[in-house]
Amino acid sequence: MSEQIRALGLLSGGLDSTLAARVMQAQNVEVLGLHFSTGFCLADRHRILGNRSNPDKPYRNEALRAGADLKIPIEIIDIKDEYLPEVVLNPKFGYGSGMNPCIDCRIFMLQKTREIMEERGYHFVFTGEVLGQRPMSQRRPPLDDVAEESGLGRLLLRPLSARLLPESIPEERGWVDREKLFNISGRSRKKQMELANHFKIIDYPQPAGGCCSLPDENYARKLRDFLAHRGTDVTPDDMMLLKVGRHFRLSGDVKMVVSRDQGENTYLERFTQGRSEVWVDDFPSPLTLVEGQPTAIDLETACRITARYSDGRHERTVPVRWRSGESEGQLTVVPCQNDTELEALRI
Amino acid sequence: MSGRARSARRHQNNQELHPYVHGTLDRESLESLAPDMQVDALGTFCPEPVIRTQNRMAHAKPGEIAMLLADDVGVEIDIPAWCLSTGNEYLGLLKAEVGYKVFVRRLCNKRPQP
Repeated sequence: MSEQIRALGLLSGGLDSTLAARVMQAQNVEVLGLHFSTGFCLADRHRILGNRSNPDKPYRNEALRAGADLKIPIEIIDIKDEYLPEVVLNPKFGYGSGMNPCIDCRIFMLQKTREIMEERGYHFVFTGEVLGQRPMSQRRPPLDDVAEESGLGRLLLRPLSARLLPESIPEERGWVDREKLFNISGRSRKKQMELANHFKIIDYPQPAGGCCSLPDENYARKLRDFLAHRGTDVTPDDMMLLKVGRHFRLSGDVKMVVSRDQGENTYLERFTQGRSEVWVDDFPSPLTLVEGQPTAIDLETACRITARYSDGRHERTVPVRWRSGESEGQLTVVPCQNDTELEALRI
Repeated sequence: MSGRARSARRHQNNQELHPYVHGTLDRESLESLAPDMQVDALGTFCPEPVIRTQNRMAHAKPGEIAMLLADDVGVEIDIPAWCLSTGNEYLGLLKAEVGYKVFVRRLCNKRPQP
């Protein structure tokens, strides 16, 4: 009886990784899907804030959905704590358009995958990468760098583009049939959609140009501001807070985050530890969190800005509540109406 | 009641159950279950409740039942999906005073287990 070939696949739940896993299944390879949680996933952000258009229908985790559809077990690996200092803050291959260290990110995830492969006796690793699909990480040189630097070398298979790439060990040893792999390249998803039809995969997220906050210009700007003022003394909670709200820097180390809707209010409630809270009692209001040690002037500014984003914005004055540790109080302020002042503070 | 509290409460009221996959047990059976282990994920967001469930279930024996406590509304679709993918049994979900109680039974199967 021939040995069962076992492979680990990086599975985001997007179309490409789902197809890659399905292609491996079609070659009788036993697959375990790994899904890495970096703390920067856009899907996680959507999930946290809820589905604004249909609150009764929460966003699904696409990796779990793909695993359920294909009957492939999914293991979610939490890499938040290591990912930030080792990848985001110190990328060997630099950043893309925002703060996205895409090549280092792939290397890091594949290093972790290689460790699991070796510990648990899997034969090889595959991904849904497509040659030429992404400008930074999926050109030929970075694909080679990723294979080399992750330590996987030729044990890394890209089933969707395999026939455009040198033969890998799984192909060479006959674990998979190279002739049944694909030669897809470029940014078009047409061939992937045809393949999805062939495999009767009908439920997959629409390609949306990535699933990470880090390439986003707004997120990158907030992250750069954070690093400039706090150095690398960063926690995953700090990074989570950058994903939501309007951010204003009041002074050197004092910054405020103003929620934009109910979902963000609920979200910010979970980060009040160690931060001052500001809100309006008399009108529907955002929750504002203030980081750092605000002076009396900072606190008044935070109250004025919070009043501006409350339903009392057109009132002459608004009583605004604040709480900082054991202390709390109320300031009656004129809501900030000066857009120039506001924009000067906005991060 | 403050505006802030009103906003938060409206959000909670919108969080009705959304049937994605029905569990194998009815409400009455779920209420009388005696789980072998409890997984506390209250106050955490996706994917943390799944990570905690998967890590705890990795050490469970076949037939053992875990009860997940969570207030992330996403568990009602994530846990059934995780069960379908890993071959464990999704027993069902009860609304609790805070959040949800989600029941999962470890099954013995041939799929590679995380």
